[in-house]
Amino acid sequence: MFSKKFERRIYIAVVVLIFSAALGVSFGAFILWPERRELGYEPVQPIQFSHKLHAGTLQVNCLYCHSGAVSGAHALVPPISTCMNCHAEVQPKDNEGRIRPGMAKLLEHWNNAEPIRWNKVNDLADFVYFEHSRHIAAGLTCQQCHGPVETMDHVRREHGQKMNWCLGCHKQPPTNNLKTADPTLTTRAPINCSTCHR
Amino acid sequence: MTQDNVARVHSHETMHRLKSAALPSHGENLTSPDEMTRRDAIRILMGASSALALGLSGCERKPKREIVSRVAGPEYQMPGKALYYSSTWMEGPYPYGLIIKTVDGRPIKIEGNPDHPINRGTTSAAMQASVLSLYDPDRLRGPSGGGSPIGWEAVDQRVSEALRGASSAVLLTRANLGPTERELVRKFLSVAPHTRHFVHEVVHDGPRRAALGKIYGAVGEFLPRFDRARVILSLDSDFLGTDGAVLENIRLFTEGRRVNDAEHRRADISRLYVAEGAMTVTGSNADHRIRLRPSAMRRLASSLVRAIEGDAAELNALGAESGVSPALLTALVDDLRRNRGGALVVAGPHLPEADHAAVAILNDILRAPGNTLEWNTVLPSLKVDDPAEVEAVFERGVDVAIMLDTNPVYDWPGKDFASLLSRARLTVGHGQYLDETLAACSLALPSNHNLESWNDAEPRAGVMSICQPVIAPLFNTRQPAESLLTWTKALAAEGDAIRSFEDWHDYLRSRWGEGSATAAGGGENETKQRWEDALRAGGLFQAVREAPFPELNRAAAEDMARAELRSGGLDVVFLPHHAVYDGRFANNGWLQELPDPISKVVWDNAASVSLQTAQRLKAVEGDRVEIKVGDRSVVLPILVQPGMADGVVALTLGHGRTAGGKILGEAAGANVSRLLGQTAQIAPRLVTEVQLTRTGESQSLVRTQTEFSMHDRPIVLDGTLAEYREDAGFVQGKRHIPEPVTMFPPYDYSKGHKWGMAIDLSSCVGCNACVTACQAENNIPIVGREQCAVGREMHWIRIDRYLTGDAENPTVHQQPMLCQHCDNAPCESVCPVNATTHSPEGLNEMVYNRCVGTRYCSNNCPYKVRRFNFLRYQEAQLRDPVQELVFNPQVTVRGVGVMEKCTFCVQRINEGKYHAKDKGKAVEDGAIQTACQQACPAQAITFGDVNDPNSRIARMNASKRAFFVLEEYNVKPNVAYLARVRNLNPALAGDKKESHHG
Repeated sequence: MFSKKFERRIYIAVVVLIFSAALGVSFGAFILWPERRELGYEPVQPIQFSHKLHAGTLQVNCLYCHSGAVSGAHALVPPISTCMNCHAEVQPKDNEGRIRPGMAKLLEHWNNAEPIRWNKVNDLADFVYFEHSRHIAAGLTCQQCHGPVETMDHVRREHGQKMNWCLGCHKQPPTNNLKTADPTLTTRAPINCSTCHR
Repeated sequence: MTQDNVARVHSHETMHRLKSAALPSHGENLTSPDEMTRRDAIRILMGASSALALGLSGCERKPKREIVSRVAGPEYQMPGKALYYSSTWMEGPYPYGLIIKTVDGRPIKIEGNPDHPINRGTTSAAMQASVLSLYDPDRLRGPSGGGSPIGWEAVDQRVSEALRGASSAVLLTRANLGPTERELVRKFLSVAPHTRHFVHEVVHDGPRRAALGKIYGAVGEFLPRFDRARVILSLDSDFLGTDGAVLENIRLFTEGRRVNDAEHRRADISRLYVAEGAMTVTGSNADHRIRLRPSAMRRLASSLVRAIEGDAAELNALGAESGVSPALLTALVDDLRRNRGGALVVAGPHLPEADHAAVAILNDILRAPGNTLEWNTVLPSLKVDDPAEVEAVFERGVDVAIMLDTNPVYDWPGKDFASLLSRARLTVGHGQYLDETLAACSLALPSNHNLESWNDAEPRAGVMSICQPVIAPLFNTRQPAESLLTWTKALAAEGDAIRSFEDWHDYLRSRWGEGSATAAGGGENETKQRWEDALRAGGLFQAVREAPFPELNRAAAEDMARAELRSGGLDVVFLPHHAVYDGRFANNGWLQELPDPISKVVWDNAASVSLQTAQRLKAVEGDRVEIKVGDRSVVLPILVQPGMADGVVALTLGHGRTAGGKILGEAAGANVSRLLGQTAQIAPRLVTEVQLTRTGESQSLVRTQTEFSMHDRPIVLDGTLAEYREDAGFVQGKRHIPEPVTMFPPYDYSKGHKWGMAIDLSSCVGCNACVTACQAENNIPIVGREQCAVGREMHWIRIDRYLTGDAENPTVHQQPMLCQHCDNAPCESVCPVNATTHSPEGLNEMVYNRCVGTRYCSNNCPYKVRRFNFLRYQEAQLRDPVQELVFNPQVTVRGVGVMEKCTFCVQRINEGKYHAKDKGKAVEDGAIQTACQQACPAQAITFGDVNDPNSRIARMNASKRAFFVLEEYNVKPNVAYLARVRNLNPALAGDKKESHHG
């Protein structure tokens, strides 16, 4: 029906099309891959609070501020009153004797009784029921999931925190290292769906 | 349903309207294919591709979310952690103790207070649904005068000025005022001298109360002890449904019906005879039912007295006239006579005084007083006034009419109340909704919800219960008592003690201080401590010595019982609705969509008649009939109800509301209370002269269950006490289980937990409390009347009801049905995306975020317990900033296209396991309770770890009465049912059809 030459051109065109489609799909997948999109997320926060200073240099225990992690589902950000436990006295100033801008902002919120709206860095999907307390009780450190926060000036997301990442630990063989190891489990932690989804 | 009705429900218009209502954002995609033009298609496609392009170019993460630092954290409160408060349920006819679960400051779930001596931790469906009403967006949000918003100060000024100048004023309230409210009303009346207080209720026990007062010469009421009785006879009293302290009645009744396998040869349970006109929950639990018109009840009671004393002639005559088997009546008389001291007779609150006098005599000769009857001197509610008296006052002229939390314009049993009101110069209505009454008032004042209120209740001697608010008022509302106190203060003279009280809380608190201080002495600190202790406990519960039973004035009683009663062609009895009661809960979707325990009708009321009566009227189910009493009439569809007495029409109150919310607008039904209050009436809710005429129209009644036969399959098993004594494992002979065959490899559940449930059908009375408890716990949506008509209701647990035996007077079988969490679950193997799987603890799990909505699982489920979100049932609720507060944060809110079902309350299981782990202990038996189990007034549901040999569930499963439904399929269900033991009178064994199914 067509000439040999034209047929070959169609053939080449089809191959090129398939190839570029494949390239496009893999590029799209690379861009959209959830893991990759979540990693390294480091939003600008309303106050330039440094975890490196507080948790690193000053060695404030994580649970001093994120007290919910021990007993509840949410680790919680502290109320401003917790900040003021120290900062009522400690109010760093710059060389010219003015209160530093971050500190000033905190005081402004405190004096105006206005809550601080932080940007959530580690954020799980709504269909996941994650309990901090279980993981603390099992003896996990905060850093295992959140990365070396004590070295970060600005907190950034260190792990994608997708289901396969969770299962990476949960599916390990049982260990006695966990404080509350459940002898009836065949894995380190339960892996049935309702552990997290209900 | 007829073919015609089905077609109507599926009509294109209906479906289209429904879809556009439920899918507001996607309205344009809903044009049916033939209406869609090419241009439409391109527009939709273009829209879709541009959205895709935006998504790609943005390459943004998922939406940013915020996490908020509060300024100072409130004490005790951790975000996401539940706090529990004690309170009291004051909305219904009887006060019960509550424990309210609040999360982040919002009440989300109600449970019974286990320390409360009356309900002992159990709840009713209406109590469970109370949280939904709290967040009802239709509630009034601020006071208004003449349709425009005004401030509370202006309200108080207008009301107190009007009261000061009034020469006649009326205060109309409900009957269930607490003791402090009653005290305040007395105080109010003393400072507003021309004011009269009237109490209005349609459903009340006025005749019973009046009769007992006259024949015992004392104020008080019977407290039936169903647990002590061997033989119980109910004359039209629905004590397991709506009469009296129902939660306590159910508990005591089921206590008297418990059997123990170890002593099955000596098993002895109470026997329930019910003589009734309508078919009620109580009747459905009867061992022997006598179909009898309510107007014949007094004759039955009187002739029973005579028969027990030796003269059975009149009883036999009554039996012959009403078609009651003589053998049954003889057996009843024998049973009562043999069980003097252990027999108990109760009579319905809607029966006339004469009946209660006759029943009092009957109880007296059966030696019930002091044995199976106690005397309670503190009445839970006020005496309801005669409507005619109130009408007369209005007709003489009233300057100010104040109505507190009552809706007389809707349900006044007598003249048109709106026209009576229009004679008053100032009309003040206090209520939660702009209902019929508030709409007719010059001042419409919003009331607090029960969960926003301070109050107290004293349902009986020794039980003082406190109602405390668990949330600040959501809107600009005020408690009626607060308003009354404000007006009292304004009217009181300078220096009156009442003026020293800051607010209603202060007033209530001071009264409690007085009471306990005089009782126990001590200073201010002790008083404060006692108050706080009482708040924590939910009240003061003291064991008081039983009041001595007053002497029956037999002559007066006999005199009263002889009163001549009018009787006509048909009896009409007006019963409170099983869920919305007298209409006060009509704007609650959970209650509207709760199937009637007997007829399974939702969102509607009907005129229930027996098959024979329907035939006499030449009517079939759904035919609309005009019911004419005196000069008023309503039109309702006929519902043919097996078990009704011939010549009786049962009408349910609470429907046909016209104002006050969107939900009640969805409901069908008619207001039958307008038929009340005319001359043809022999008691407040019993009419004997009525005309029924077919209108020629018909309508469909929406039922959630339409097939009531088991088709001879062993679905619900039961047996007689005789059978049980013979062989505790009588169920095994009633079915055939073939050799199990399975394709699945066995799974070893012996390690760790294995969750299981057992439901004792001997205890379950079919009250529906579990259904609403589940709905509240698990964020279950309502779907509306028309979606129910196509079988899309979403309840995770339902009560299946089957009828066997005599078609006119059937034996009723109730069976709560929920996901059976089968070990070999047929739903799991057909899911193409692994959205439903099995946990090592024996739970059949449903992962909503995996589900793609094929519905294969539902198709393959033999129990039909899986529910599918056909439309966006939760959408509107999720978007409403008030309504969304009711959701349980521990459970996902499911969207359209997702399958869902009972999870065995997995969120509670997880929580229980966390608690145990934190304490370093194993999960204690009974520490984890499912929502249905917790609510059950009969404690018929047991849940626990079957691997624990000492657990209650293991004992229940080991019972010889235990069987699994459809066990022959070898799906290995995990919900065991314990066969019901019926205590049939051996003398009637041949009379009653053997209930064998198999």
